[in-house]
Amino acid sequence: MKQYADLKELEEKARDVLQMARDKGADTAECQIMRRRDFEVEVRNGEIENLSEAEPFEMSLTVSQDYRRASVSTCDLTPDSIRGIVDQAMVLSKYTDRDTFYTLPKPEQLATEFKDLDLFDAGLLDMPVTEKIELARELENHLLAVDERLKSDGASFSSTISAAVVANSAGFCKAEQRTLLGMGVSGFADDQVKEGDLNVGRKQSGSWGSQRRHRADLRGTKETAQRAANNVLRKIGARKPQTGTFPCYFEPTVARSIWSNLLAAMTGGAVYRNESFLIDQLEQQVCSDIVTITEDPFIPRGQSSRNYDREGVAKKAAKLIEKGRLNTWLLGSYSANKLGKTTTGHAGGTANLLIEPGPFDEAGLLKEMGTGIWVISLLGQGVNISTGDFSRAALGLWVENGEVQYPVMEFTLNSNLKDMLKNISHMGNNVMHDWSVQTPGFIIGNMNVSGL
Amino acid sequence: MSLDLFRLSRESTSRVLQTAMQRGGDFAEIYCEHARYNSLVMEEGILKTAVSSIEKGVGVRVVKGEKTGYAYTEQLDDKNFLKIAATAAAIADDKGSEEAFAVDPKTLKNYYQVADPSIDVDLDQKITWINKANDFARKHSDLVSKVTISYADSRRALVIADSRGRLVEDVQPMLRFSISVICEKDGERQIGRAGDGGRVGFSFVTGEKVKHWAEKAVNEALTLLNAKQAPAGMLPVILAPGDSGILLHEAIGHPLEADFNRKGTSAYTGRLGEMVADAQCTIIDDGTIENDRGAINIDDELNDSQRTVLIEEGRLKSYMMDEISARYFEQESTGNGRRESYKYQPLPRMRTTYMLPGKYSADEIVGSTQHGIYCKTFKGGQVDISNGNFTFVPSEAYLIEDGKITHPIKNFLLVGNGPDALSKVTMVGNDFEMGTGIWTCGKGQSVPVGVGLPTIKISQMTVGGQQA
Repeated sequence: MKQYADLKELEEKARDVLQMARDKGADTAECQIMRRRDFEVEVRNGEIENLSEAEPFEMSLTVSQDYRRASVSTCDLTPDSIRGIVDQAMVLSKYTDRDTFYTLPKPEQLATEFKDLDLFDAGLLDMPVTEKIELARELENHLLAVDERLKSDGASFSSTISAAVVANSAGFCKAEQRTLLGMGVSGFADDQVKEGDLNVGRKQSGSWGSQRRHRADLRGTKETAQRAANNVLRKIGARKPQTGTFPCYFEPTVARSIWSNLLAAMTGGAVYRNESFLIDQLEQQVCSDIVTITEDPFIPRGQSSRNYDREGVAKKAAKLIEKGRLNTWLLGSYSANKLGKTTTGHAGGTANLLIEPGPFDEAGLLKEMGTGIWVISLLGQGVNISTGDFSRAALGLWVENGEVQYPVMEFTLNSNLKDMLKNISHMGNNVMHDWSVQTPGFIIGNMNVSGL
Repeated sequence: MSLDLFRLSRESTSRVLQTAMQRGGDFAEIYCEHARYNSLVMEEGILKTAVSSIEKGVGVRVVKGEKTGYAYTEQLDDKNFLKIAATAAAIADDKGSEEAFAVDPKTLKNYYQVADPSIDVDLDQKITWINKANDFARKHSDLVSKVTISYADSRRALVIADSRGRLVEDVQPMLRFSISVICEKDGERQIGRAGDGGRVGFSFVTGEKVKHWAEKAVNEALTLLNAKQAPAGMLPVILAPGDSGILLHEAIGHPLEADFNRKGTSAYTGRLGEMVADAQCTIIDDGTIENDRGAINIDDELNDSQRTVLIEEGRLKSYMMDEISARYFEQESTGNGRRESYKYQPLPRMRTTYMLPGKYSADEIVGSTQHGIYCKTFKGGQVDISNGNFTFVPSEAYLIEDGKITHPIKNFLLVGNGPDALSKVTMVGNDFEMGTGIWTCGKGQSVPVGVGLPTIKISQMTVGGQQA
């Protein structure tokens, strides 16, 4: 198979950097080196609007002396520059305070088995630029063919081929190659509010895109364009809803953002800092009992598949939330030490997450909801992970007796995540596989809607 | 600081530009950047993190009409420069010109002359201020359970040359000091934040300021500990002067960026010359405020920084232009073409966006309101360009009852529609303030910006609380 980079050479380079740090007096050292080839093309109205390419090469290094830690990074990997940056890290580490919670993983925690996760598509190395451009063109053409009201805001294709090494002085050193392809399309349409209204120029926009490790797994351009078109068209004619308390159906795109709030609160850093609304909730019921979340790091070609975390700790498949019960925090070595626990292999975040589907299809969910709001997008940063307070603007569809009535916008949803997670009343079976968090949509009761 | 830092000469720069223009682009530029970033973080009373990074690279862009070719490299030698120039050139498909692209240095007016660049200051001095901030915060209240101090400074050295023969050097300093505290009472936790910064020297940080930031952060958290749930529904909203300028940034700033209007996706497309706000509103985007976080001597495509009037007495005067949009609209660029680094292409971006003062005193404005809310500090905001909907999230806010600021409220955001909200600005205060130097705008790329506002009253906005 054709290779992008010489992985042995990359590992050698990382080992040299670790050795250099140790020779200069470091007690521990962690080094990551990444080399990438990035490509992106954007097409708008049939023309190539933007074509860019780059081949970055970056290194980062963290050293410690007597538990005093410092980090440096550079994109200049010439030997002189590397020597300079290692020196700089050593000097910097003399200024920080002793922090005995900072340790590397124990050797027995490091990954030693490496499953073939098939994350590298060698075919991408030779994929002609013309084909990449053609995919973007196709996407745009399909979008414009859906409905004559649609205009294009551009279609894109991007690819990244990378080789990265993770190494540390606990004895871990592993380089890997990966590929990632993405394509997406955005459209918009006029949404004239009534004559004489202030917002006469109002439009609605929408997009869809997906990413895959292998070219063969990309969604069809027609299906992608259809989803993007639907995301524009279903917003046209939006009004402001009444203020009140209603159940809401979170479709998979927005369901994903609720899960990311939950994960942020489970992260070791938030927990030891006392900045999580889940503190004191370990092994307690934090979601309704229809919620089960499994982390599977080993899905072949998975977007977030990995054998080890950023510290080289072996990944495990595990149920993070089981029938609503919080099974674990997400810990790296540092946060584990702070909490008197051992690392769970989550330095650098979670791998693929699978949310267990329920029995309802979309129509079934709406029927169960009766009257409420189908949420299709969320806007604004009104989530406080420390307290769980949740207040975000939304755009959606007003539903009565299980039937969609009209789009709604310019309103907010307000609640607290502690309540929202427990109020998940119905789980759909419409799992979206486009992201590393594979979730169906779900219904949350009792959301405070602020509109008119 | 000059071309040779990037292993370039004026001659080799000409050759790179010639290669970039070999297929007949409208213009090309070579963008060289050497940036140093430092940050220090104190948490739990100890200096936990010290990070230092270097970014050094060269990007070449070729523009033909609305089409752009871009490539960058971090391996600085002639072979790679010519390679990226040829890659970028491929966007055009005409015959190239034979002319050589000689470049001549151009001197700039400097809006951020700094006598004591923080990047060169000894770490011990920075750590001294960090320790002081920590002490001030902890001394200010027994309820403080956690203090995080974050200090960051940077220096970006740029050399940019283009096919129009210009060669410019710029050095952009930046400093930012932020304090975040958690106060706890009866099992409840609340966060307060404060800080400031700008394109300033190290002497910007003083004992008095550090004490002020620390106490402000603690006071905000203490206020929130006493806050009750915010109301829901449409209410009059009064914004305090300064950082409330976030409203302008989201409600009108982003939708007036010329790329959205060139592509026709903005709610303001085709509306130049029309009334889009109350006649009390004059809104400016300005890159020439000395030492401000949003100041630039020149934009990232060699157009002069300027003070641009976007809205004059309610009427839409100008979009914020980058070079591509300026050519499209057959106007001069307004100097808004900015980029995060050599890894990105320039886009129309804001600098410092603010509203000029009006005639009312803050007391008159608050006094005119029977039942409404008063927002003092903010976490940030977001906008949907196409339909004009925007949000911004207050951190410290209060109820107004019978013309008086009364009880603190929490857990809500404000949602509005740009043209609608600005037409409902019924009172503009005479107490203009610049916001603090902490804001970063994200539009695929992060760039530092500023905001400013006098006290204003918006007669009706949706308040996203819980109590209807």
